[in-house]
Amino acid sequence: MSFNTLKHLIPVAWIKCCLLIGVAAFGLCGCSQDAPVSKSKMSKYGGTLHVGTETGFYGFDIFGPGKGGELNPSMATLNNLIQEPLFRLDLSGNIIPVLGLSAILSDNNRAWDIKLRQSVFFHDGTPFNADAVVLHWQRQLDPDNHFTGRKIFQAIQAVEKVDDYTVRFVLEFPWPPFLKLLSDESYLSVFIPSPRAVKEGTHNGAPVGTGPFKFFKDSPTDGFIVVKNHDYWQKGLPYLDKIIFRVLPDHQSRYASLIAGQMDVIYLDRGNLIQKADKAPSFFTHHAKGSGAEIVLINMRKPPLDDIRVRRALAFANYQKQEIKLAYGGILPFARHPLGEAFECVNDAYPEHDLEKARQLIADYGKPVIIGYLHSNTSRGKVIGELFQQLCKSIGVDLKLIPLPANGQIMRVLKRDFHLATWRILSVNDHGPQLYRSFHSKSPTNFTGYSSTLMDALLQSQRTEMGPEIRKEILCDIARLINKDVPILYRGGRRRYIAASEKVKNISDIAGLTVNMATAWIDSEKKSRIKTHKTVQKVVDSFDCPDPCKDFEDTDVIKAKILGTWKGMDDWGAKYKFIFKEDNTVRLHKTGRMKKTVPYEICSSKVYFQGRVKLVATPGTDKNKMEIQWKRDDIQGVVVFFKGD
Amino acid sequence: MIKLIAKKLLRLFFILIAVTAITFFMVNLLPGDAAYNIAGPDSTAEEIENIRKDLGLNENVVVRYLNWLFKVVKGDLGESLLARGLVSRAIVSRLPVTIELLVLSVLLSLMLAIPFGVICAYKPGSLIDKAVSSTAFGMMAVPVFVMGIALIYIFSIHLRWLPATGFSPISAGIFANIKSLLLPAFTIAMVEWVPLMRVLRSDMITTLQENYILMARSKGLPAPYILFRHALQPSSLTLITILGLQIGHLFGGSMIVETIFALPGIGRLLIGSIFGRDYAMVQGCILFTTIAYVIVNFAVDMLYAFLDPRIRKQMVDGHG
Repeated sequence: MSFNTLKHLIPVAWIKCCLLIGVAAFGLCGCSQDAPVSKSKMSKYGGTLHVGTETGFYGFDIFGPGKGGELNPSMATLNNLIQEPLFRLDLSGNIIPVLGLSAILSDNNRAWDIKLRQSVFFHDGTPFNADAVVLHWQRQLDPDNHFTGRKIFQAIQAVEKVDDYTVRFVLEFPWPPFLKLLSDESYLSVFIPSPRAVKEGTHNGAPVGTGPFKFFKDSPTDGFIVVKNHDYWQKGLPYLDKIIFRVLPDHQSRYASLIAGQMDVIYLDRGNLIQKADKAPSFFTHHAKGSGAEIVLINMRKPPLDDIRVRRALAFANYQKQEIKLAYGGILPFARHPLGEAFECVNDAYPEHDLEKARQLIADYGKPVIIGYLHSNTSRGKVIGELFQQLCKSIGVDLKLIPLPANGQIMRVLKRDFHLATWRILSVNDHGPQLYRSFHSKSPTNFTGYSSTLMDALLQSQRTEMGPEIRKEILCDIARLINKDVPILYRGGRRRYIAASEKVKNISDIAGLTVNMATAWIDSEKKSRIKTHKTVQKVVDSFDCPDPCKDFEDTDVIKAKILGTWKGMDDWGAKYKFIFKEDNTVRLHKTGRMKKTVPYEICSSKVYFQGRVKLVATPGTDKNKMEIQWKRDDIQGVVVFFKGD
Repeated sequence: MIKLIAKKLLRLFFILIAVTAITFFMVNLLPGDAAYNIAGPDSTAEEIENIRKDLGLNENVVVRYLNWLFKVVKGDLGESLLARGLVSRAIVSRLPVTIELLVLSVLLSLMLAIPFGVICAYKPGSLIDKAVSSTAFGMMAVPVFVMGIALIYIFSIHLRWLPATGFSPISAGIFANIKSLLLPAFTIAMVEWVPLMRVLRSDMITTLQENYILMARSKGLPAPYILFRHALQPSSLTLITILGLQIGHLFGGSMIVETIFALPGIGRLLIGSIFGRDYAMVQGCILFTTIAYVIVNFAVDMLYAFLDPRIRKQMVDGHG
């Protein structure tokens, strides 16, 4: 099930309260002071959600975790519960208000006035206001702080307080992606922390925000625990009392924890496990459409890769579809450009897999091509390397594989000491700034050494073009030029998966790769992992013994029929042994699961008893065979039992 | 005895210097450092340089090692480069997991090794000896991660008796605590009991040929009494040696088992730190493991004296 199919389950308040305020280009809307949640009839309060993640949590201060405040998906999900940004993107890419209420662009397109939500408090009681926003941004913008994430928001020159609940973002130049980046929850920069917690230096380990959950504890043994914020500004939320995040690094055992019922939600990125979870009726898998792409950087400074024929030959040899299948188990979308699967560009000039064309280009080049390929030293990295090596071999290119750990690879790329290197284009709300940093000839992070006057001009114009349609077309032109000049190869798109137990409801998503658990609730009655039985032959009128039972005539006859041991096996291979005894009790035994004795009642030719589920036995004419029907919640089925030890 | 302890302590000091120095230089040989990890892929050379400067990574490796050593002498293991917390605190917080896992897995190993070792030694070459030996070697051949996943499948998914992952501290109840460690401990024990059983079997076969055992038999003492009362203790010296090595090794944490079962022990901390090039944390973990290793082996030496009066006499006489 994709996130989109859950759209109707999202509390409508987040979207409903929005009023369009005339910045149609960005779909921005304002929101009333109080944003009551329209509580679904079914939603329930209380309970603890257990979430299993692959990676740990390294801190919540912009100067804490490093990587310029860039968050990995599980970290972003957790952070979202504690801290909040000014705006968020909804599923359609519209900007919706969170701590900000409205954003108005100045006439010269170089300043945004943002109205802030009032009567909001941080978890430590500090009021949320313009001072908190200004302090947070000044820390990032101060050149003395050397904040590495500064380059993402480089167009922001200053952030000023206009009044207690209005702030002004002053831009160096008209910058169209401003609001989308301000809503990008993969950057810690956009979340407003408590000024007191920042000042006291405790925010990194014990974050304090305005979000629906409060930090409670972070310990290696108990996990990262957040508890409900009872004073949350969005009335009615959250539903859960507590969420516990545990780091479960091994994929197989993480999945096993979900099956065993230890975890309610897990992150998955192995194709076989995602497919398994997809097929299991007890779980729901969700995926968030990301943007960006898994790529291979081509160092265009180094011969023979400075020759377009060699680069295009590699692009034609590249068999993305096969790589997605072999290395990722088919779980990633096909990437035709770096702008994401939701971004459509007509005639994107993507070089389709064509070994014949590739051979021809290498033959035209006329010299031996020997190049190195830096890839991850994981098992997946090896598959990626070996597949491309085989493809290159078939076109006459000698590809030397260089498996390296992540930071060794980063080091080689940053030193420009590579031919080819696996890399990724991050999933972000707007790709303009990232493309500029990656492909502008003057950019210090242009690792491929790509240099094109046309590309520089396109990158420059997307930076300041305020018309959304024109800007979209410019971004597509950039994608086409990338596909034509081949500074990168594509290995797949980006997508994030989670699997959740069926009792977890309303995990709504947000744009990007983060999962919004603030609206989730647990259906406590849905503890059963019994799958829907597809072969129900007949259903008794009721699974409850009629009270009072009016029909006593055949009790002794029925009892004589059922006394003794009965064995059966359900459709999933679970074996049962029921021993009906003279004293009106039945010993229930399911292999490895259950062993208990319960009373049974005979009425109207049927035998009523209850183990974990409600059971009704109906002895037939065959004295050695009996059907026992079971029911739990709204699921029911039939198991045929045979008499004998 | 005091002379012996002093000698051991001096040896411990040199071992610590050697091990920590070798580790420090080896981790430095790995490509990339913590600065690349902190800065992330979208960084400039200048940003990397600034981070390296802040972390002191620009210094010569020998200078950095000596700086670290001087701090350690003062009792300061330093701060983690990545998690930004005290190394000592991180190690202490994970110590209960590692120690509990160690104790439980050693107990389970001994519970398997001693009875089977004794039975096999009592009737060497018999059907039971062959069956136990074949099973044991079969178990030893199974990789730990396969064993772990198989046990999770049986006991967590199929039978639902034990949790698949995670650790419940003692504060959550002793039953929950032991339950959370049973599968990982059993996974370790399934491999570790085999060498213990084999050495015990072999030593015991020799012991059972001694004259005093013959005497005991001729007195008509029952076989279990002879085996466990008279033969087991003198046959345990090699067993204790191997056990000491295993305990020392387990103090460093069982990385694979801790990863599969998501146990927050020293092993997982160490492996994460190596991947992140978190030198301070790696050094802290290695220092702890080395000290534990040496102490355990010292304890084993002392245990020899307890078990064998001849060795005790040698030690007291100063020949040990």
